[in-house]
Amino acid sequence: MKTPLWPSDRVTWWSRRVLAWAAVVVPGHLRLDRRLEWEAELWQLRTAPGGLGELAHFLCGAWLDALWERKEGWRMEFLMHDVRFAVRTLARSPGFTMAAVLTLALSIGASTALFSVVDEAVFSDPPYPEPDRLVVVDMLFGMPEGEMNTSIWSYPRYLALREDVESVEGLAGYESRTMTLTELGDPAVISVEVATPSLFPLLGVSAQRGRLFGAEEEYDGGADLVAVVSESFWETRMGRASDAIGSVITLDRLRFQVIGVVEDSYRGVSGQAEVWIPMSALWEVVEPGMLDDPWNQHFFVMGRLADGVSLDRAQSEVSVFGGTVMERFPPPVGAQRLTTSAQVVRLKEASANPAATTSMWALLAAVILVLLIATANLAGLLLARGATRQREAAVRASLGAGRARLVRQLLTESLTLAAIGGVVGLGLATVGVDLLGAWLADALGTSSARGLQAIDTTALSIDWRVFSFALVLTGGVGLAFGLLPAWQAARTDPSSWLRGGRAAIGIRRRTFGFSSRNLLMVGQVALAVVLLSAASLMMRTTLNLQAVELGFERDNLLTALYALTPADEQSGIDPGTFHVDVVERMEAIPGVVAASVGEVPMGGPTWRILVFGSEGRPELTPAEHVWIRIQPVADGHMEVLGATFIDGRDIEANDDWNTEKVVILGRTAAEELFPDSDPIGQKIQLSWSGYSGPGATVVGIVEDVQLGNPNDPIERQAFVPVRQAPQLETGLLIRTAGDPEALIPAMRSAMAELAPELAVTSVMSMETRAAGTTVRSRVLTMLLGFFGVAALFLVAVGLYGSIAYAVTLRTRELGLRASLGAGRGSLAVLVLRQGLGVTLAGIVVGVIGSTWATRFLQDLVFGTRTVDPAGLVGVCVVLFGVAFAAAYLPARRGTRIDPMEALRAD
Amino acid sequence: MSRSLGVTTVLILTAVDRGVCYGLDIVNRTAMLPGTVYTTLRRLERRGLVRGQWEDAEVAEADRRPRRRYYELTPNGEQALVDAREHFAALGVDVAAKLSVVGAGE
Repeated sequence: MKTPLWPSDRVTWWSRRVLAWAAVVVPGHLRLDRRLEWEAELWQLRTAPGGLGELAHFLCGAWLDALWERKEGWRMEFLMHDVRFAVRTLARSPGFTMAAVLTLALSIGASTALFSVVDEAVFSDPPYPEPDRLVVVDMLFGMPEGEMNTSIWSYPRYLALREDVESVEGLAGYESRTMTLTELGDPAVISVEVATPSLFPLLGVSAQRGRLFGAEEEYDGGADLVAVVSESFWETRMGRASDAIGSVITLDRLRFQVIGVVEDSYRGVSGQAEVWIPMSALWEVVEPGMLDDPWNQHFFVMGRLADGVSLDRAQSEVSVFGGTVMERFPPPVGAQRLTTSAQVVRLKEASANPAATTSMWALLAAVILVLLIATANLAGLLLARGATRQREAAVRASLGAGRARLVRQLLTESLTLAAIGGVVGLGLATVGVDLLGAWLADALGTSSARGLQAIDTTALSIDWRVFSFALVLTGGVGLAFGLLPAWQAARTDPSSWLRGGRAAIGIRRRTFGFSSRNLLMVGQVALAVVLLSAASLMMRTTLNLQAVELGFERDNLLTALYALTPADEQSGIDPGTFHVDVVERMEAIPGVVAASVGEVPMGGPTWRILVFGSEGRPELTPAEHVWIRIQPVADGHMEVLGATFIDGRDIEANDDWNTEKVVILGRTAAEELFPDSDPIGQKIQLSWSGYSGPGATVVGIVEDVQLGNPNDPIERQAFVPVRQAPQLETGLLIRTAGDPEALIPAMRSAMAELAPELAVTSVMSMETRAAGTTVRSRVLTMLLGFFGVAALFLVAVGLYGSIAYAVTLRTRELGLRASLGAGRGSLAVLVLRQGLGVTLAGIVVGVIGSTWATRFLQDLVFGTRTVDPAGLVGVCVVLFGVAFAAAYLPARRGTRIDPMEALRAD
Repeated sequence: MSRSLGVTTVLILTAVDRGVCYGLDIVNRTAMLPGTVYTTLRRLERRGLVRGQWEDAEVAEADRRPRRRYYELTPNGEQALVDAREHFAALGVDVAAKLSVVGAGE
């Protein structure tokens, strides 16, 4: 008996498999030769002693050989021929080609434009030299219940940080504020960045004219009022005057000397600054002494990791510093229970806006889902077309075209289609980036928690990353929808086609062609379910946000903000009296029902202070002090706001500096501070000038008012008379009889009469303001809804086409059934069952998929869990309805087949 | 020959010239990677410098192994090798040193 030729070990067996696979790659006429040659050599290798490394080299060699042969088979003229042929074929069915190109172009264009926004927000570095070394240093305050967490610094602490910490260099402080610009055109409120002189060198920003801040602007107990302006400020407000340097601009009624213009179009770390002033100037602008007060915290700190220092090392040094703050700067009364720390965060990370980024990813995912559905749709269309082109394929195959050649031809067609779509899409994206990208970024949020710019909308562009994205997308799509029809064509048996014509293989075609088309339909339906359920979640969120109980009447309320300056106060204006004058002046306008000053819901200004004690519990320990949101308001404020009184009275006109201090509490505060007794008539002590000693008497209790955004938690709140505790900054609330925005001109002119130099900002109706707080979820709802409808439409078209095609293929069968006595109803059921079965399968897969996929929307939803059964049911019902309609039309046609005609057809 | 052959090609041609041989033989003689050897052989075969031939079925049968494909130089190939050697000599490149390595394993 002969011994077997091949060793029977596993390695040999696998090696032979690898060679067999490699042979598949080799063009047909050489395939056997190559395989035999490799096998002979493999036999040699396996029978002679040799390492596995040698074997691996050999197998790789065989594969290289195979690939080389394959490459040689692809000659350039063949390729060009294929492309020309593809273009001719596509041109022959312009309707199909147009629809396909348009769908591809729109979805590739939209995803590319969206990706450019994601690219800028997620992948781009801040536009400064060595961005990896730039860090933000956060000062952290913790409370036992984790209530407050801030990242801001006071000047003395910043100096100590600069002195002590070596691992972070060039430490600079910055903050953004708005100031009123006067004596240069109309009064305007502009964005000003307040910076230590070290900020510009830290970021590598230089002056194009004049100079930036230097050692003379360091704080030394006083202030030089100087300013640096942006190029756009210099251009639009100063007309590019050559004598701009040395001229004087008036901000908040203080005169600043312009010393320089920053380079290019630099707009500061916030991306919005028009003017920079040195931090020392705050001493004049806000209040003398604030820069010497270690507990007056108002700015952020940025620095650069020292050469060779890791983030971890900087972190440990900085956190040690943070822990010593309480010791070095003894806190004022009420802050004893704070714990302190500090942390280092990379600038890139610190300037992220997570909710906006998540929104963008969600939108990108949605567009790609639409693209996938469109791809599956096209694959289905091509499959159907492939079936009708089978005769062509069969003729070519019988004339000697290899299977690979046929597959290549079909793939070339789909890739050509995708390439045209990709090019048009890229063109659309180039336009879209400027329009859609910038608008979208604005709607979703361009700034971050630390006053840093999250997305620079002027920097959106089609860079190499975006371009590669579009390229990969286009190639992937072209391959994806071309492979299935190509595979089908490769399985064509030419002889059966040529012999029997359509009827002979109609059945075979159907068994194969249909199952893959069904699979494509299931996929499309499933993706549409995912998309629609995301859209329904966002819609629910928007509705929830709009339905939040705000605790005040939002209709017919005009709101605005204004602020007096320290200079006003120094020139003898009493803020309390001024605010009351404003209210009286407003109430004199016809159409105004009543007016007040105070915090504008969702607009500010906001103050939070500590409650030290209350009657019955006069001596709260520091650990029991609680934060309360407080607001000085004019008399009749609750009336204007439309808040609901639970007990007591409103603020009245004679609650002024001569009478005892009074306060109105919100329900939450009242219940927490006076758990066992009636609060009315009792006293509380507040860390607010004049309210700490004897305290203020509670005169009223109102239902809580949502002063923040609708999705913020309700806070403890207190309202005090504006005459007893005035602030420079306040909001204006005007209850009107009719359309509040119609009164804006009258309101503005009345303010101008009262105080010509006062800038009134953020003038809008409460309705508009509330809409602004939900803009992100509304934009998401709109876009996801739009994509969802597009997906629904594509699915309907795909299903219609698929069923219509099935009916065509089954014409004979249906006709036969009809002639044998099958009723119309049973024929319709026969056809419908197929389409609806596919839809149901898709819905099941889609529901499972969406419960997984929607979890990524966690940060964006409000008032609902990410899996929303009611919404899912709704989505499924809508989808099923659309699918039924799409399947019913061709099914009805199927029932109307004339048996005689059908049987005669072939 | 207008175009000169590269060192790799010359090495493989030389290896083939040293005697009728098969792929793995050349790999062993030139210490090159199999992928390089195969693709070079294919190119040379297509240019008519090398000829591959299956060995007689009986020989393989007698040795109890699969049939091998042996390579030998064509007359064109022999000429090309002579030309290439002259070319390298003219360049002053010491191909001889490299070539002497070939066959060291024999």
